[in-house]
Amino acid sequence: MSHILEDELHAYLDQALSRSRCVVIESHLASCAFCSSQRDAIASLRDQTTLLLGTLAPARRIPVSLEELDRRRLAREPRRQRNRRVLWAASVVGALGLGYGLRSVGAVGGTPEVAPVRVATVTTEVQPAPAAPAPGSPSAVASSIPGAQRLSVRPVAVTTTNAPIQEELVPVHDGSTPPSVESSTSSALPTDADPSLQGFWRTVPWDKAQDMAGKAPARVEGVPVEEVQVQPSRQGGSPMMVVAQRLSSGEVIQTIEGPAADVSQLLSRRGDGGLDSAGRPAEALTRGDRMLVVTGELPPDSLRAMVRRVNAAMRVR
Amino acid sequence: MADELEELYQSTYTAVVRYLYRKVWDADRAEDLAQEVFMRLLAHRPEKPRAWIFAVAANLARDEARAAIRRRRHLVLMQSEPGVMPSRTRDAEEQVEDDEQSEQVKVALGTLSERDQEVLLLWDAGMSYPEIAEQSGLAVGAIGTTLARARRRLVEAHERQNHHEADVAHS
Repeated sequence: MSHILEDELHAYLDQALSRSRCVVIESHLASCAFCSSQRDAIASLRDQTTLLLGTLAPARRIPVSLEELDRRRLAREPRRQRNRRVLWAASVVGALGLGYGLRSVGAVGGTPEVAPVRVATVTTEVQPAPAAPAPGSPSAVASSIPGAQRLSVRPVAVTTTNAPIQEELVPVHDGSTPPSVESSTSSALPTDADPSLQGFWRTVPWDKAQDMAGKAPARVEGVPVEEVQVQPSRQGGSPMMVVAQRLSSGEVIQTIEGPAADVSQLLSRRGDGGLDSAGRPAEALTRGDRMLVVTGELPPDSLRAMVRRVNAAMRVR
Repeated sequence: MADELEELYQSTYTAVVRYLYRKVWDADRAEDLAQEVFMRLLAHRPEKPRAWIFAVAANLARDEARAAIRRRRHLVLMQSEPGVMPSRTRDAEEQVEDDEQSEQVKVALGTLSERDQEVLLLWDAGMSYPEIAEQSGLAVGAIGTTLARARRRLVEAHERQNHHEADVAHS
């Protein structure tokens, strides 16, 4: 048998080899003086390394208990949830900014053109029901970040017109964390439909959802898809789809896509606080929540781009 | 699960602090970051907690290094202010020799490539070869080679430091 390689002797001393390989090495070491001396040299090197690294250690202190760490973690949770609300509010303001920007672009040179992306917001102002979209209006995409992983929105007015959008300004922080970008489009799909979605929803794998829609369902690109739920459209044609994506912060974004009338109806049902299809009370909507409704294509990175845009606009003011 | 986490905390906390200290070179900050790691552990409860802990610790240390770069200008200005040197106590004098030794090892460690450092520190933190491979992105079979090189270079660099110090003392 040839001599044992140096890196294998390191692995042997680090107990990183299989038992059978160790037996082979040990029998070789017993009969090979060269490898045996190599082993001793490496053992010495290993000890020296440990000794040297041992000088690079902070003074030992008594650590706080795990219970104490858990208490601290729970104590700071509400603050994080508030921050998520601020982020969501920022995204709504950003959407408004983008809507204005696109309108002004379309208005240059005379008759305003229909903007390719139209943005409407829903504020906390109380009105009875969302405005029904005009017949033949484009499909609607609604994206919301629910608090505590539950959809909780207050739709007031969903517009698909090109009319000026009422602007609501809230403080926006430059450092607001945008949705983290993770490379995944896979789905680990639970089988139960989200009870906050009324009607006959079924959960489908991502590939199946793509087949049904004839394209990739609307979503925030770069964020892992957690669940796709589908319901046939009442008007026929494209089905309604709800894509749930979880940010690294734990928040869930739900993007709803479908014919505008169906999306509006779904959102109004969510807002009325009545009973769902199973006879359970629908989730109550709380004042102060925000919802963003975008009709048309939702470009990648749009939330961040919109926030930047509005931040810039607010600085000018 | 709670008991497992408690056991993991007891067995890993010191290693995590040490690992972080060797990245940020600040004992208080290393403690803070280690506590942050375990608070996140409690929130996420990952499947492979041990590997997860060191992956998060590495990320936090990386963020800390970036923040340190941003703070550097300010620290330089602070240092340039005269008359704020603390008076040295006898204990501090005794500490000097240990500090010098640590400084030499720190310099020696700094001569290693980033990958060699990472593998060596993870090994010293008690991680297995497969765990080190998972975190460093290396093949398991390459860990022995990397460790062999890292150990040799650390000891050689430290010896060079010693010789250099001896030469300076002689001259």
